[in-house]
Amino acid sequence: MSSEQTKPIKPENIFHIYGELFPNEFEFLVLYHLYINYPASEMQYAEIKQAIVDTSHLPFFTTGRDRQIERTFKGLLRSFIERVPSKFNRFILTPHAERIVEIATQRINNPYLKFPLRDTFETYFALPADLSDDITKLQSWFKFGFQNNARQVVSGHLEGLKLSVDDAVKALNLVLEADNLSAIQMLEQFSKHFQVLGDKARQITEAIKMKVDVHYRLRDIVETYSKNASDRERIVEDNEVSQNHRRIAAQIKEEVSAFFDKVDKQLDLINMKMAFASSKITELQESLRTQSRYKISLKKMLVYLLENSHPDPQQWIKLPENFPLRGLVSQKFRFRGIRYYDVGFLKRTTPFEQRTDADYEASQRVLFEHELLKQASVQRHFEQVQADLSISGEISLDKRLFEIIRQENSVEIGIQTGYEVIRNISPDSHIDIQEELQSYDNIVHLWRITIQRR
Amino acid sequence: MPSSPSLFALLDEFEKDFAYYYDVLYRLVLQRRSYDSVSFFYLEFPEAGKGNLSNPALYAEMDGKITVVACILANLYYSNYFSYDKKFQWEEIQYEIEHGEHREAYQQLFFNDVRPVFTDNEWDSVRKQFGTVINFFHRIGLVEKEDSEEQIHFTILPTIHHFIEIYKNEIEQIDDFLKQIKV
Repeated sequence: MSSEQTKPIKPENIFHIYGELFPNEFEFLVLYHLYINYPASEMQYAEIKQAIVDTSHLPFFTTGRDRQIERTFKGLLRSFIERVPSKFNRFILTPHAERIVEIATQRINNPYLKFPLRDTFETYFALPADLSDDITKLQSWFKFGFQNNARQVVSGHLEGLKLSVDDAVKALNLVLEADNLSAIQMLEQFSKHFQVLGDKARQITEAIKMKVDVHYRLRDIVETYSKNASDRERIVEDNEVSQNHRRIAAQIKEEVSAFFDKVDKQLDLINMKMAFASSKITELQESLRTQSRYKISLKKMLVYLLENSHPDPQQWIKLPENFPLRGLVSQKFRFRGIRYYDVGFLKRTTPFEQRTDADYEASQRVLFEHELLKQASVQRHFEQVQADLSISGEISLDKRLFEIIRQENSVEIGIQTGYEVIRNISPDSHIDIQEELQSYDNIVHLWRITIQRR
Repeated sequence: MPSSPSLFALLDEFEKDFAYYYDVLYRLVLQRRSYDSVSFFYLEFPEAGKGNLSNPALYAEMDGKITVVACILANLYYSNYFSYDKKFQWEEIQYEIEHGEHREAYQQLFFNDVRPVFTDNEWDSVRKQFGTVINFFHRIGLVEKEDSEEQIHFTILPTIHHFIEIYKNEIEQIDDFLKQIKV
C-alpha cells in the first residue's frame, strides 16, 4: 500500500536533461500562445513562426533585436513540439508541453478555487455503503477513490487556497507603499477579496466536519472487521482470512488518518494567515493613511542613511555627520560561577551541633579547674624555693616540702614541687643527701636533703 | 532583553511600582506598548539627558551599524505588514543588496564599491558584521533568532517599534528633518 520507492536520480543526469524538460520564459510564452490559439489541433510552420514573432513583440521582451525564429523553433522541437506523423509540415504540442502550460496556468488561476472545498470532499470522499461486507470494495475505494483521486484533489484544493491567501497578503503588503488616496480604494478591494477568503474559511470548517464523518465511518468499518476477526465461533482457516481483513482495514484507516492530520495542519496555517491579515485590515481601516505615510517615511529614512552614511574600518558604518545619535538603555550583566569538579578527594562536611551531658561536663570542669589550681600552686612554691635558695644559698628540701604539704594539705603538691626543684636544679648547685629518714605524719618519708648553691 | 514570560508577568502585575522604582532610582521611563496583539515593556531615557545612566557603561549608544540595520529591519517589518510570519534570513538581505531597488546605495555603503559581483570573502565580511548586529538585537529583544549564533535566521518582533519610537519625531516629520539635516 505504501507508495512505490523511486530510485534517486543523479544530479548530473538532471543537469543534462533540464533544458529539455523546461522551456525558458520566452519559449514558455510561445507555447502558451500556441496552447491558447490552437487547442488540440495541428499547426503549420507559418503559424508557429507568427507565434514567435508576436511573443517577441511583447513589451518586456523588447531587446531591440529580432529573435532568431529558426533557432527558437528548433529549440521547441526538442521536446515541446512534434511533427504529426505522415504530415511533414504539420505540428502539435507534445503532451509534456501541454502539462507544463497547465501547471503554470493552474498555479496562476487555480481551478479548485472556483469550487467549494466541501463539494470536493463530498464528491471524492464518498464512502460506498457496503464497505463492511466486502474488503475488496474498501481496497478499491482506497486505491481508486482515495489514493488516485481524493488525496490529490484535496491537496490541490488546499494548495490553491494557500497560494491565493499568500497572493492576497503580498498584494496587501504593497498597499502601504501607495502614497495617494487610491490606497483606500485599493484597501476596499482587498477587503472584498478577504471576504471571499472568509467564505473559504467557512468552507474549511464544513470540510473539517465532513472529514470527521469520514474518519468515524472508517473507524466503524475497522471495528466491524475486528469484531469478525475475534469471533471464536469461526473455524481456524476462516479466522485467518478475517484477521487479514482486519489488518487491511486498519491500515487503510491509518493512512487516511495520516492524510487528514496533514490536511488539519494545512488548514490551521491557512486560517492563521487569514486571521492575521484580516485583523490587520480591521486595525488599519481607520489609520491606513497614517500607516502608509509611516512606511514611506521609514523608507525615506533608510534611503537617506544608505546614501549618506560612510563605510568605516572601525565601526563598519559611520552615520552622516548631522544625524542625531540616540542611546538604548542596555547593560551587560556578568554572572560568574565556580565550576565544581568532583574528583573524589573533596569530602563533603556536614556541621552538626555537638550533643553534651551538662552534669558530666560540670563535674569534669571542677576536676579540671582543681588540677589547674594544683599546677599553679606547684609553680608558685617552686619559684619560692628558687628565690630562697638564691638569697640564702642553702635550703633543706625535706623540711620545705613537709611545710608545703602542711600548708596546702596536699601530699601531691608537695611531691610535685620536689620533682620540679630537682629537675630544674642549676649545675652550680650541690645536693647533699643523708640517708636519715624524715617523716611527715608517717605519710611521707624522705631522706634529709640539703641543696647548696656554690 | 529576550522574551521571558515570567519577567513579563512580573512587570505586568507591578507595572506602576516598577515605573516608580525606575523613575526614582534611575530617572528612566518604563514604557508599555502593544503591536500586533503583542504587549511588551522597555525602558526609555527621559526627554532630556540620560537620567542617572550618564556612565557610558550603563547604556548602549546606537552607532552607525546599529542604526542602519535597525532601519533596514523596520522597513522589512512594514513591507510585510500583513504577513503572519516575519521570518527572514541572510539570503533575503543579500538579494536586496544584489538586486534590490536600492542596490547601488547598499553596495556603496557595505562594500565601498558598486559591482555586479563580489567575492565570497567580501560577502563573508558583510555577513559577519550584519550577524553581530542581529545577535545584539536578539539580546535586547528586537528580533528572535531561530538557530545558533552563526546562522542569520530571525523573526522581526513587534518590539522593533522601540527603534521606530526612538526616531519617532524625525520619522513623522521626515521631509523637514531631511531638509534640515542636509543644510
